[in-house]
Amino acid sequence: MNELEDIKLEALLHEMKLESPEVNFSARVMNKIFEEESEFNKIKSTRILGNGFWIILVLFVALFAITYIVSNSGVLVESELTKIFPGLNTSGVSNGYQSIFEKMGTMPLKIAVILLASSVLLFIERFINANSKVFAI
Amino acid sequence: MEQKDDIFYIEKIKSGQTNHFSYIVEKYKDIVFSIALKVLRNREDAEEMAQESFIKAYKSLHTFKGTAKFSTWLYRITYNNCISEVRKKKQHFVSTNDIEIKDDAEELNLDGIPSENRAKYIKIALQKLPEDDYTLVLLYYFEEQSIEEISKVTKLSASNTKVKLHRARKKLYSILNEMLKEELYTIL
Repeated sequence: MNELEDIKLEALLHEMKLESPEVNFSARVMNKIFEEESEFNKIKSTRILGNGFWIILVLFVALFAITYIVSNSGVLVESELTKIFPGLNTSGVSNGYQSIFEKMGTMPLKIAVILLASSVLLFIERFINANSKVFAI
Repeated sequence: MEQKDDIFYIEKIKSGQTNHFSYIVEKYKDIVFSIALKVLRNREDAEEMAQESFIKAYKSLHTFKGTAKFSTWLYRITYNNCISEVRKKKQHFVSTNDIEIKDDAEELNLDGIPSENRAKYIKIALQKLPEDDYTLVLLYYFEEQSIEEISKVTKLSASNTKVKLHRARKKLYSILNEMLKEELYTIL
């Protein structure tokens, strides 16, 4: 195999025509790119934190506030009663109040925890969904 | 000049003018398709793979820094895509080592092939070349890529690329020689 033959081969190979894909190949590639790009833009414009998340968050804050107010109001009632009736043994009443408020107080807290957990799950699900589409593109 | 053209269009595409990517597709579709066709041995699969390679290139265009030739970068994507596809399909990737190179390949005289049949012979011989050799020959002769550029595409070392290219050429000569002998026998 000499250099001259190599040059001839090179020239021959240059003359060769390569295989071509179908005529509409370029158009198909471009259509696919435009299609995927528009889908990508759609995903980008979709808010990850939707209305559901904000409603749950507001409910959670409200319930947390209620829990706080209710748990504090027990202490307030006891101190007010002692002021009005100095000789009164308020421990029984306050204990009763305390247990009622405690029961009531833990209820919104439980609901709040459930709401918080569901909002976090909702957020994670939406975030993963959105990102999986972004990465797929 | 060609690289400058590519860079010009790539910058346009990066700035959001997606339609300029059609220039890239139009320019490189034949070579990308030829590599895919050789590896996958099926026109339909090859078209799909070529399309996938262009889309992949488009999506990763932001990672192209322009330090290497765009064509080298694109061929590397195509080549890797094809190799992964072959592995997925568990097809056998024919390598140069699987095919015997005969000593009389050295004696070939291309002038012995009738000029009107030369292109046809070369085409058939190229089709008979193993996938990796075909890619080397294609990139070296058709695309005039340097050994370094080819080694980037195939992930072989420069010296290995050189050796493999030499063997590929020898193999091509060997195939051509065999074809010429067969032709001679049919005439006689």
